Amino acid sequence: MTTSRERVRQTLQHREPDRVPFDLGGSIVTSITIGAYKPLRQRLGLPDIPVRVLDRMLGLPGLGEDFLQRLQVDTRPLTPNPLGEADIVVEGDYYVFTDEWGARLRSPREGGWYYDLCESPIQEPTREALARNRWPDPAEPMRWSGLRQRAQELHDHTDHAIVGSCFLGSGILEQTAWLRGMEESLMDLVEHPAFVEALMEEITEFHIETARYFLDAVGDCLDVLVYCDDLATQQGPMISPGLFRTLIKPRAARLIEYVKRRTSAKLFWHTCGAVRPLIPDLIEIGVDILNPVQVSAVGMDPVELKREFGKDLTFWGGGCDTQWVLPYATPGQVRDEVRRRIEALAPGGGFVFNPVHNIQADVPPQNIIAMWEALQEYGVSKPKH
Amino acid sequence: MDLEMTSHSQQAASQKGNNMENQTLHEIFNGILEGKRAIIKEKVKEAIDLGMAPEVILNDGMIAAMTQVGQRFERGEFYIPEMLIAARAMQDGLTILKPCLGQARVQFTGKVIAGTVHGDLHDIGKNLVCMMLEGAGFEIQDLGTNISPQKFVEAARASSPDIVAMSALLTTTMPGMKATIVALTEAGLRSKVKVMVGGAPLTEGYAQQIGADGYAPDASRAVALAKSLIARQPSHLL
Repeated sequence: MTTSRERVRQTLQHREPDRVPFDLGGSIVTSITIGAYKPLRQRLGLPDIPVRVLDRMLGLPGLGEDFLQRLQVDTRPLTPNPLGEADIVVEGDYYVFTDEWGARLRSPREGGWYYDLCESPIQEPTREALARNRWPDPAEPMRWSGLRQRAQELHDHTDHAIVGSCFLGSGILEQTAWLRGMEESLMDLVEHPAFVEALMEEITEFHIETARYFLDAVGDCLDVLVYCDDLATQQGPMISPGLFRTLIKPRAARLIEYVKRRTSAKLFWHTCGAVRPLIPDLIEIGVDILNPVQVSAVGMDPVELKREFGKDLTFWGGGCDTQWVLPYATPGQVRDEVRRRIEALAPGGGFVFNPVHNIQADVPPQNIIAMWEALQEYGVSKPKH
Repeated sequence: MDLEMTSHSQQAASQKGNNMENQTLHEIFNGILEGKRAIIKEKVKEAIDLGMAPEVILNDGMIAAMTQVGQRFERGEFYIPEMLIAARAMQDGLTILKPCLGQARVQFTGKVIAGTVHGDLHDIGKNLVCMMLEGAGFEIQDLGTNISPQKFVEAARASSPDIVAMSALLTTTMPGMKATIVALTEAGLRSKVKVMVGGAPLTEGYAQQIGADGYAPDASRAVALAKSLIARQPSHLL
């Protein structure tokens, strides 16, 4: 009997396992929001237990072990200890708090679903402003205490695949948006290249340092290491491929190389959107896994992606379109969608099932169940002739 | 199209028989394309000082440049950074030119009120649309983010726009668009405006389903859409 860990490892090695592995909650980009989790628990007949907020910004709960067992989820997350978040204050129509980067986030008190960036800490594109900025401290021992024991518990006493996430903040491009504001950071790329180089250097070194703490402790236990850097919109890359290759690609390559010297885990790169023009670059710098495979974005048809990149990449996601089908279609249409996506992505391995990104609060529980049932039915590997 | 515009601007300038004016228009055009704020401010002032007609500066220098920006984006030569810096340079130039446009009674192409819907704080797409529309000669009132149906209605009542433009990034906030259209109808304003929608999860089908007048997938095509919506207006409103 194939264990969860074997199943995930096989597919990551591009061998088709007994069935398509299922991730839910392995990372904060492959999970389910509180608004969808609670009705689903109820629908599954699971007890109504208090829900712990795992990620305030994304509205994610800690998923109960009963829930994960019930849905036969093959993965479990392994992360540093979260440090306490700042208190939320009310300012007019908004809930507001400041994160450990000094960024202010807010959520509408009425009708809000997430916290979003409203003020960034680095107000000018200058080295002085960069030097004044206070960075979180990767060395803070509270992040790492007990991590090794938790990893060994997962590794030695369960058969789940272990998905590690350690990076604080976002990837090399996205974190510039966090620190400077989205519009400002995008303009900086063209207008203040020296500043951007300095900022991206600091972000890269910061991530390398964080990775050192995490991988020194648990690198030998991981199957996957998650890295998130959004590079694309619904229509195409956010920045020109030329700019990506000059500014981000070499730094990301350095970070991935550092990681791979310290763990044999596969490198999972999360980027929303129509990222296809940059996929060959990602493969070149050592990305093993692409997530979330936003099937409704331009150029992201799984059939084409599998044909073109299937031998080099594992597709982690892409199991069901989440902009239209999962929230709005009938359960029957959800099943058809899932069948199509599995048919496209499963053959030959290199596929872990997850819908496209976190399941949102507007997804009815019957659609999530239809998705899961379709995975059970169509995710079983067909016998070879 | 851009070559025609450039040669049109060349013809317009040479009809005045003035190389300096021609040169200044070119510098405004290129300055916007390259996002050079300082150059734009300088050259727009220069053009005004040369006594150039404000509508010529606007149409042949600035709108022509922004049209080129949109085309380059659609062709995949410009990405978001290039659009942003061009649009911001255009805005700087427009700030300097606005008093002259007012004095010369230059008409806007149309008036648009824009906002991201209730519960949604995402605005870079909406901001780009506003900048591109401004660069096409529209008058823009940007309401910001988290705009309830009531706020859209109040703004429409107060400023009588031609177009109400709504943006949403999230499937969870998209329903605010239909709610706004319903609110406009209940307020007796729906027939007085055109409604256009956009945002990552939006589609043409959804726009039709909720009773919007149009959908555009990006800021550049939003300009073409807005122009076509204006053209369908009764002629006495133009």
